[in-house]
Amino acid sequence: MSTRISRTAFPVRGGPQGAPIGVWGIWMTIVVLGTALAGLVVSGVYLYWGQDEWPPAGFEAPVLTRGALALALSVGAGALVVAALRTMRAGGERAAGHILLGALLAATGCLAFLVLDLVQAPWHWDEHVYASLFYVFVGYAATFVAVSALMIAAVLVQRVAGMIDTGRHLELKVTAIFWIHTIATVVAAFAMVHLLPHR
Amino acid sequence: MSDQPQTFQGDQPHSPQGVADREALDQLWDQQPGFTGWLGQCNHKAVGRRYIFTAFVFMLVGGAMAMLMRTQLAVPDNDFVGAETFNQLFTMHGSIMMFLFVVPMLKGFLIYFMPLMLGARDMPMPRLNAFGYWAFLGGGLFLLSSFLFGAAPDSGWFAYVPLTRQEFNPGLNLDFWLLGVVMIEISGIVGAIEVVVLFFRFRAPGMTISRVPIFAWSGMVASAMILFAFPPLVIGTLLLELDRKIGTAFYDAAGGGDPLLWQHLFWWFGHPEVYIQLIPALGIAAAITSVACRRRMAARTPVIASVVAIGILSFGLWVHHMYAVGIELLSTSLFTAASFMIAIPSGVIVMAFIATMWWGRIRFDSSMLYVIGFIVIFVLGGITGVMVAIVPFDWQVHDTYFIVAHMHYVMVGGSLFPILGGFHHFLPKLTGAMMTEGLGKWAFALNFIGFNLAFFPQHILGMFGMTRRIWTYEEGLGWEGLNLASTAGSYIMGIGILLFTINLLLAHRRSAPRAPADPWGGDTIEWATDSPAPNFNYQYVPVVESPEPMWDGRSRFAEAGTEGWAERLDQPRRGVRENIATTGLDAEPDHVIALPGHSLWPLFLTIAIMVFLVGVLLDAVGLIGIGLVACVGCAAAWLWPGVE
Repeated sequence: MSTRISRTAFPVRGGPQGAPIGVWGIWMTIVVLGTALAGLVVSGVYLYWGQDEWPPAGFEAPVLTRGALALALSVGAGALVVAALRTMRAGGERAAGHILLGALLAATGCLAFLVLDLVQAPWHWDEHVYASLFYVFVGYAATFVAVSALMIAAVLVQRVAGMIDTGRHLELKVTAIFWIHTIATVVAAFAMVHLLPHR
Repeated sequence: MSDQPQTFQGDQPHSPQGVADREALDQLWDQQPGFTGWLGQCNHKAVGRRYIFTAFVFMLVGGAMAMLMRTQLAVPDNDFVGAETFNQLFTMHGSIMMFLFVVPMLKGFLIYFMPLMLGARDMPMPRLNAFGYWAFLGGGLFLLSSFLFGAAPDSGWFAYVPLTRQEFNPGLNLDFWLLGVVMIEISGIVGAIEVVVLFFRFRAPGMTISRVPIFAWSGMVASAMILFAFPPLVIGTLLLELDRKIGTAFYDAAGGGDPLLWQHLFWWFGHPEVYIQLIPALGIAAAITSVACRRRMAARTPVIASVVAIGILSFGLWVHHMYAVGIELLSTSLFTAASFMIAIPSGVIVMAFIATMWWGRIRFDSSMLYVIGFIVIFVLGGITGVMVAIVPFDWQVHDTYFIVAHMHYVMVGGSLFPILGGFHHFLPKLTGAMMTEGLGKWAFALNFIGFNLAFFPQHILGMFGMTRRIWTYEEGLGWEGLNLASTAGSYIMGIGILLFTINLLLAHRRSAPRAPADPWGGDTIEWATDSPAPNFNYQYVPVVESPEPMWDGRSRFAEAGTEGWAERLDQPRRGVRENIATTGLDAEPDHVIALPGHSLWPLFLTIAIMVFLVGVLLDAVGLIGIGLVACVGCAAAWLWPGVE
């Protein structure tokens, strides 16, 4: 992994061997957020195991389509950010900008479906822990999709301003890595809301 | 002749050019002028000092609360403070000591001393480091401000559900606690990220993983534990706050939730937290012991392996806090076995300390006395820990003063005593001052005697059936004498802490003697630089050849002229703060990294988060919105390339 992508790191002795500090920082952040997500998922499963009925009587399951579309768009946005990174590395600065724009649109679409899911839920969060879990998981995923979309927007602005190029693009790499966590969050939300076996 | 020293006997230049470079480095790494310059400092020494002295003040506040509680319990049927005030006192005493004193204090030690010990000039992400401190201060003030509104948290430092749900605790008390703790946990997490990256990337060339000091190992292990222990508590507190504020049903049995979920999440954090507080303190004790005994720590590698083992095993013990909640016997038996297992690495460490003293030539100065006190008290706390790990015994003493005694033997012995010893040992490097030995030994004696007098009787009180958290008790239960003795002990310890504080203040009077660079004959490289450490830590890059570079006679400073990167660091021609980053295992020079030196954005981000928290506290949607927008703006400005 090259430290040359960072504007603050200068290799010594025949080339760098390790990741830049920014990449270390984002991986550490993902470890923390991943642990938090794991805590949330384990809590959800724990509460699920304590129920006799799932969904409880009188609660209809949320619409699958919106969740599936949000999941597909989050994966798509993540893939586009990675594609932008590869294109940037290969020298296609302008093309990378266009791909990032596509990623931003996909992320915005994902966010819209998640918010729609929250707004059109057939029950309120205080009616049962089933509903509480739905709101927390979807809201949690929407929060991270929003943060990731903001990161893409910031990188895009930096690209337009000429602050990111083939030689210096740590911010883009950090955004691409962060999308791993974002996709994991959307997958976890989808699994907890739609894939837990009914009882 | 080279313009620099070739050994670790003083990091001083020998030529006019070297002197000029040193002055340039000093200016480059100095704070910017004025009040905003002081506020915007991100250097690890400024941040570390702030952590240490803020946490010390919080300790005095928490200690004063403890003495108020002991005064209330000195005699039966006392009404010195009422029941409600007593509830607030024990809640805030526990919260302050756990969240605002021990962890931040140890973090301060790590942030100040780990870069020095590893040969670095700063932490890898200085602005994040500064943010960690501001978040800690903000969270602490937020928590304490609850007293001003008559709404101090009053449900214990563990905030058990359902007692803490809205219907049983309708005021703002618990909201102060939950939101303040989230802020403090965020501070802990960012500090931990810093320490882990520092450990793996900012070691001096030659400091391979096998040459890292035990103190730095303990800091890394505790920080790695924080990364896995704190986030579930943040999730747990957020779920509880959602239950309280908007009526979700996570902990509401009537709505399909489960109050026990809180205990699982809390103790998943809470038990490792004990070791998060013990392990760095153990690192301080190890640093003191090898210097005071004038020999390498015995069984150095097994000690490091034991520290790592404790770090891992501590995540498998949380249910031993929950034996009385009705968990199946098979499960509790497994957790009993795990609890016994952790006694093995703990025993290895204690035996290593004893062996080091046995084979060394001990210098009984104040810092070493605190280490001896640590071993004695921690062993006693460990033994009662094994006792309460046994389910039938735990059922008998659960929620009694036996647990209070056990916990204090572990926490005070395992953390407070090494911290006090650490002040004596490291103060020269921290501020350039030295504490008086005579006063130090008196303070130690009072603290040791006072502590044992205060807490040993509580074991017996617990056996006699005195439950925790009661604000008074009737006459004739047979508890009077032991409670009075316990209160007297707490006063004696209070005098000990007062003497310690006076000693600390006297050491900083203008006429007090200044410390030399290496007053103790230290083994690790922080003793090679001036006392206090200069702004840039080291003018020349240290090259380390052993775990005790000051003693091995082979470790040296990198030679200018032969290493381009070393010259670049020694001679700050670019006007940028720089540090050498090395490879993770072998500490080979990898790249020179430029570090930011001054930023107010971490402070602004903290203020924005505080606005958000106040909005949540008061259900003020406008404030919540302003806080959120301000958070995004501050984060964007902070991360924008070139902005400081």
